[in-house]
Amino acid sequence: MFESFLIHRSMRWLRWSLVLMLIALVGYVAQDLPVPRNGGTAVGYALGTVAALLMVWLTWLGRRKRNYRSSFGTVKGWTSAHVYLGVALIVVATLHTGFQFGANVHTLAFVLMMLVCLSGIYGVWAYSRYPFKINENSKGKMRAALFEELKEEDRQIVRLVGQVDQEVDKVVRGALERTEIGTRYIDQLLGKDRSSVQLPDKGLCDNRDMKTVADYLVGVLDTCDNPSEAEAVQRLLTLMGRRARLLSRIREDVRLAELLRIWLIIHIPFAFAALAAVAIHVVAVFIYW
Amino acid sequence: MTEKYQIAVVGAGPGGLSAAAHAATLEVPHVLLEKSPAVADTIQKYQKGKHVMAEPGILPLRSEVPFAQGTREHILSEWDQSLADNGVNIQFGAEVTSIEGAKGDFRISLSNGQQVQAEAVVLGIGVQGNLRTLGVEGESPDFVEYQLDDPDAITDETILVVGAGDAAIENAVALAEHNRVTIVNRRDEFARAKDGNIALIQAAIESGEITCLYNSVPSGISPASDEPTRIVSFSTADGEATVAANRVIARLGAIPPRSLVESFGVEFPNKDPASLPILSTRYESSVEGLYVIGALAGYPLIKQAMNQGYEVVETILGREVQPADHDLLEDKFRTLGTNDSVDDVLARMQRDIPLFSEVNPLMFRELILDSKVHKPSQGELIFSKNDYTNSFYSILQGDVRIEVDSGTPIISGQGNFFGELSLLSGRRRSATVRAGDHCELIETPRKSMNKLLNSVAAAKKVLDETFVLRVIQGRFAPELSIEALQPIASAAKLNEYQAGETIFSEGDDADALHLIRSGSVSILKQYEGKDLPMSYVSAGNYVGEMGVLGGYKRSATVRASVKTQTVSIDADNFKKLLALNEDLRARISEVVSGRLKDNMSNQSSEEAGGVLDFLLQQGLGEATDVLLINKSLCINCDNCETACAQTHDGTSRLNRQGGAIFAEVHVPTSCRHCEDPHCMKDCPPDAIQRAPGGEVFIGDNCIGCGNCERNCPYDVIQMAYPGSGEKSFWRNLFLGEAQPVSNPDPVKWVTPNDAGASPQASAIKKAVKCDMCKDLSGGPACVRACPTGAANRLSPEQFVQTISERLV
Repeated sequence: MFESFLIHRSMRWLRWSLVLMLIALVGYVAQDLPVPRNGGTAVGYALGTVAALLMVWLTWLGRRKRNYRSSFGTVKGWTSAHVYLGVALIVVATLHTGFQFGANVHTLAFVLMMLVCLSGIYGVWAYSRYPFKINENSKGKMRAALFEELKEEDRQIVRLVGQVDQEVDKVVRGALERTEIGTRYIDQLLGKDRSSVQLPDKGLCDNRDMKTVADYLVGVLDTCDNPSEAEAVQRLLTLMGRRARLLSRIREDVRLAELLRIWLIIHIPFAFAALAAVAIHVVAVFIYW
Repeated sequence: MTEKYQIAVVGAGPGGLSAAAHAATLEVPHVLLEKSPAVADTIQKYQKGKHVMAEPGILPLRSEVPFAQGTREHILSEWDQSLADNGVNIQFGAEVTSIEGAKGDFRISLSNGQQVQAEAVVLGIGVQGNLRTLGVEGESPDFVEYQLDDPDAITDETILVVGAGDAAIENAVALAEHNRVTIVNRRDEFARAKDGNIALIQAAIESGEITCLYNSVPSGISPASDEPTRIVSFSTADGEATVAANRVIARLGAIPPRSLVESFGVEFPNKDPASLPILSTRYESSVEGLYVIGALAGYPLIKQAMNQGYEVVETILGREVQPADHDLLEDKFRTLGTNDSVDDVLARMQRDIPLFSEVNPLMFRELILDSKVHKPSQGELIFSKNDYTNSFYSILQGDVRIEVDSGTPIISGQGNFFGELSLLSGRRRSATVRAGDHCELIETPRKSMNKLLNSVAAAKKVLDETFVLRVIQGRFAPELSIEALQPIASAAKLNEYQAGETIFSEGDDADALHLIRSGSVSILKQYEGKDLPMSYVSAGNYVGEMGVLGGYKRSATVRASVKTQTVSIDADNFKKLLALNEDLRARISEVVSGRLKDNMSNQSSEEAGGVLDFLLQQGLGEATDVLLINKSLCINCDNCETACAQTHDGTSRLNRQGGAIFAEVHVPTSCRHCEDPHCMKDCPPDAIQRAPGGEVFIGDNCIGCGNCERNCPYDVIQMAYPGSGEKSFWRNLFLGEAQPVSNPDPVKWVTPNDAGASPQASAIKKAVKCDMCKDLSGGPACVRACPTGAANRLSPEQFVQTISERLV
């Protein structure tokens, strides 16, 4: 019913990729040269040309993906080829260098390219791991549904605090307002809870997992002598517990979704940087030849 | 005092206005009686600024009253102006309670006690009916309202909402945002409303957001005083109760006009609520001198009604008038190369095709107006097996060759019909049909045919009998003649089951075999005390053959997964069929052994059953093709939605954030292309069609009425302004201007115009939905744009098969 991009068409692109790598390797090893193997030999030029063309083509995925009317293969097929031929690029380009590195624009191009490839490999790993984890965490709900649930939870809490002491009302409403899901990107990535609550005598306190407000409500319950208010506070406690679990699920959803795509921050800009560096590398090689 | 007129027109809708204006122009003594205080009550109730379309575009307008597409306000003001210009004698607040007498001397009684006399009466009262009112003492319009325009305009009030239907629930929930709301239900539960609304109101009552008074009926309202609130009293199960409220909103539904119309003596062909009054070609009802026009006569479009208003006045004055559609029909019949008049051709059609002989001529004219007339050359393909078309063909002359799988083709001649299998079941064509010699065909669209079948019992009977015969012949005995099968077919029964209804249960005695005519069924087995679905069987196939063959007990439970019709053949008759046809036993035994193997393999998998159960709950039992997303492959990139929007005028027709998930299968909010599409049921311009590939799509002639959006149980249709279309990739890259296409809010769908500038005045919201990218090569853009293979469109057969294979 569903065929992942990794097994697209019985891994046709993996097979092509292996063939390409094998040819590159055989060509590289079979060279009979008076000098050390390098990018300037016939095989070196061939490898370099293939690698450069591959880079341009791999970058073209971004264009093909947005060509929504195209029936030239499917985006899944292109992704499959992108992944496997991208792996082959590591081999082809590395062989092109002849393992000659230095502090120059040529090595810069190689390093940038490797960053792109390695981040891509992380991407493949993330794509095969996080969607599953996201679904497991959200228990069959989309994020919008989780937020909808949170809104409903908050509505119930606000209705309930109308029935209790004004001070409790203020604390609980404050806790709702000062709930944070990840204002800073780093908090989103770490799933950090920076929620806080303003307590009457203690001032602004950390309210991770709604713990402080729960403790406060327990204290209120202890001193409460009005049975109907006590019942309301008890229900508030239950709701707060549910809210804390829901919030942690949302934070985990945000965290996983970020981990799923964080590699693109490197992969995409560095892909363009690598292309630029390779262009300079090619020009430089021909000028100083 | 009784006033006397030549023509009395009842109802100042488009038809009534046009009739009265024509009478006024001809200086005929007339009166136009309108129960409400303004013209065109139905259009008055449209939302502000609604754009009204003038379909069908090909029909010319023939009326003194102007009408072209435009906003509600513009049209209403033009009509008011036209009333004055033409000197129409109109009485507002004149509700007709009875019509007595006969042609030349009708006596019309009004609710205000007045009486009007007229020689002829034109009824154009529409089908909306009268709103049910509270009818309690103290009721006044400033306190009790029957409509709620803008719930947000009311804040901080105590409001009583009376009623338990969808309108009452939706109003109550919307008002509860800023007000204290009590909903008054005269029963002890909410049963009449849609499931979603019932869940909504129950949650609101449980959480205390809305108070509910069950088993309560309003009995009185205190007189207005200086207080902002008035006291409403109720009779409840526990006696009298009172509530102080700022206002009452009563949503009690409407009384259909049929009983009122019947009380005038107008006859209907049958009890079916959808049936229309019996009318002559000149719109005269069974009461001589009493004419029916507009929606009540079966013409829901404004322009049709207006033309009829004009024509009916001409008819009453004894003038010969060709209906406005005359030229259209003449054009249509040109294909036939005949010199006969339109009326003659129509008469010949009714005479030569027995199915249509009982149909009233007016309705038949309408049917032909919707139909196409073909004169194919010999051997020309009419349709191919497995096409998804569902129009109905009648043979006016010559014959056709029906090519069934095996054996010699069936020749069908003049007066016969074909294509009814797909019409009734919504499934693909079961055979290829080619034209024979001198062939003339009438191709009738599904909607018109269904309208006919609902109104003409005789036609429905003929079609049902033929259906049973042909389906038995097609499935079991293609070699046998129709005559030989006749006794078996007459003993077969047509059964109808609601969604979820059990057809037979595991362990029952096997008494009959069921051929599924429409809908689909799930086959369930007991598994640790639970019924788990093992398989799904779609229309055109049969179930229960095992038991009938061997005389065993039922080995599984069969349940309708959606509303389903079956043809059942009992064991005795089935054995007769077996006796007639030697090969059949062997063929059926083969099917049986295949099923037994399937049952064995499926029994072991509870998980597969769970997924199947979930998918059937999502309405996939009536689907033909559905978008599924594998959550363990989906990377939330939204490229599917973007692709959809980019290839469909900027509005995505799928909502990835919507829909339900089970295990790892996500059914996003996207069209299922149902076998019997709910959206098609009530489309005034018949804009929703099924393409030969099975795609259900909305044509350009959509009038934006929103019926389909409301009728779709899966919320996959939206109303959207025509978008600005595709953006150039390179322009986006260098100049920005990315389109907002995905939206985490599942309720509201973003369209470019929502997000950006206000739409042009001429643009109207039209219904948009998935068309499975029927015009793109390579298939649906959403699936082709998915980078990981998470999105896929599948037919129910495909996913049932894969679920079984994968999970067993």
